[in-house]
Amino acid sequence: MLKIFKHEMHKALHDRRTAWTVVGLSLFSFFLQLGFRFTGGNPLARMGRRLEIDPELLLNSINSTRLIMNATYYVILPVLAAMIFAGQFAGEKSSGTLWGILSRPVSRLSLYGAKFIVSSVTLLGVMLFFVGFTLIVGCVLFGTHDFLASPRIFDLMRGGGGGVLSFEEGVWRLFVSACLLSFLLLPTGMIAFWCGLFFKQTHTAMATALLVFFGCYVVQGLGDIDFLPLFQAIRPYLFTTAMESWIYVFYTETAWEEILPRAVVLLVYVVGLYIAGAIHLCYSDLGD
Amino acid sequence: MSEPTLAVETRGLWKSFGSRVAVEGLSIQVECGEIYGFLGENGAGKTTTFRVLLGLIWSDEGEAYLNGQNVVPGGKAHLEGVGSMTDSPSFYPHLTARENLRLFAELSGHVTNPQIEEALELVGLLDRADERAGALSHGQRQRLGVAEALLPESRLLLLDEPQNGLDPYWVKRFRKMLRELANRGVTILISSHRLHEIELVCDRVGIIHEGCLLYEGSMDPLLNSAETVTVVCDHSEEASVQLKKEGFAVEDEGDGRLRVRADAEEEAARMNKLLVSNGFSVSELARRRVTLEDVFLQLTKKEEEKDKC
Repeated sequence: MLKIFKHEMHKALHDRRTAWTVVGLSLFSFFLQLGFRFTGGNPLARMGRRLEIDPELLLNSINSTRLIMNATYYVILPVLAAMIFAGQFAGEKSSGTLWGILSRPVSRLSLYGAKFIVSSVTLLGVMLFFVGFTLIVGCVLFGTHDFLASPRIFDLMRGGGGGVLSFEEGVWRLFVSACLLSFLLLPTGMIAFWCGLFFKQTHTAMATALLVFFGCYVVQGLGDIDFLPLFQAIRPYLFTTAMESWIYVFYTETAWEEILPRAVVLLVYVVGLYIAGAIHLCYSDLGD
Repeated sequence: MSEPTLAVETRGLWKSFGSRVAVEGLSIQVECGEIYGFLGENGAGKTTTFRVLLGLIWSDEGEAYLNGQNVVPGGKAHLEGVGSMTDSPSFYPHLTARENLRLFAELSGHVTNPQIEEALELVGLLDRADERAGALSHGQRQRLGVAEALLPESRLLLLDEPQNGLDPYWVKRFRKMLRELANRGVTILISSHRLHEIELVCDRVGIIHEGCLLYEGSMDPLLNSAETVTVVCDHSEEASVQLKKEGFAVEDEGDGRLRVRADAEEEAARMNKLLVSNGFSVSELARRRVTLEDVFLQLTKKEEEKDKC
């Protein structure tokens, strides 16, 4: 297991696609925060004026980072997760290197496990870098002030949350939410991972996984409508619904009672998809 | 436990892809230490057999053994000490040749730097070892594939079309390398379209046609069984009829050339006398040794004729 893990890790560390993705995300975050900083009419500033809140409690490095995480977690981050996971098998199939690996005395189960761990670690690494970089840029542009806590920043408008937390507490919460977000993105990644066993091209596997993701997202949205009881019944069990749980880290007191049940739903998805993919890999030809 | 005498063995192997039968009851035996040539046309089932042997795909029926170990698809015990090269070896294009070699070789066990250097030198890639694999030419990638198959210390090599894309210089060096490896006790199962190369380097051959084994054994009985005489004369069609009447096996090659089977030297002389006495003007009569290519084409043609019948 260790030798195949080393093999996969070496490859991942030299993969330029991941590096370019990180650069792209960083630029995105940088320019977005520049916009927050130099646009007097930005939503946080407007909200602060309307609620008569100290602007620094609203527009600070922690909230700016959260706002960017909020803006990316339903579109950009699932694409990122699908990209990292889809390439593991589909990429190796299209380049032909999968035959080379499987022609060596390596068990398919070990290969599967190693690829899963490496993808998960890569996703976590990218998330931590993304959040960390955004926070650093935020600190430079907005300073290290205390911040006003709430599940969603705009919930303040509806009177949600509202406790003031220190900058240090905010950094810790951001770290927890980045780790949690990596876990919440795992089902999307696992779908892409499994699709990689079916398809020979990374983009096909990725597109299929994202199709499933957005399909679930649409069904989840329909579940909000009162006169659609079927969708309402399904909604709590969709992985896209459970993905929202990271925002509860930013209650004044972190709402673990909201996070844990959703995490369990996601864990069931991750384990189920892992087992299904492992069975597929171990008992299929993987022929052309 | 005693050492197995067979490095590769298949017993009644069947493999279909949908309605197409790729391998049909294939049974081959490769003895330890020999170089075994696996011959067949495109689509004859060679690559499928290699993939079954490596456990990459499942056979529908039959059994396969490598170094005495039962081949279990997805398993790994049968791959210990086995080096392989598929028809077009693939590498990570963003890594260097050396990094690729190390990465793949380490999956089979511990590999030292001198071993990697030695393998690179053997295939003439030492000076390009630090270039990205994506920048190597087709022939160089083939050679890198051979180096990869050799590491860390393979007792059995399964090489599927390893000479594809090699220039004449490297074809010759490759032939020498195979002989050296066999002298060191490495068993080699090699498939190739270069029948002349197979003839020069292999101890035994297996000829496969549309998934069926047509011949397996030493090349001597095949090559020594008959010689041919090429005859160039006027009115070749009539000459052909005349020779057939006298019991000769004749094949018209066109352009006035006839290929006639002649097992003994006297046969050629008798043929010449017969043609001249019947008024044919013979401008060329040359004895020619039967090559593996002749035998291969003859065997596969016979099978096709049988199929037609």
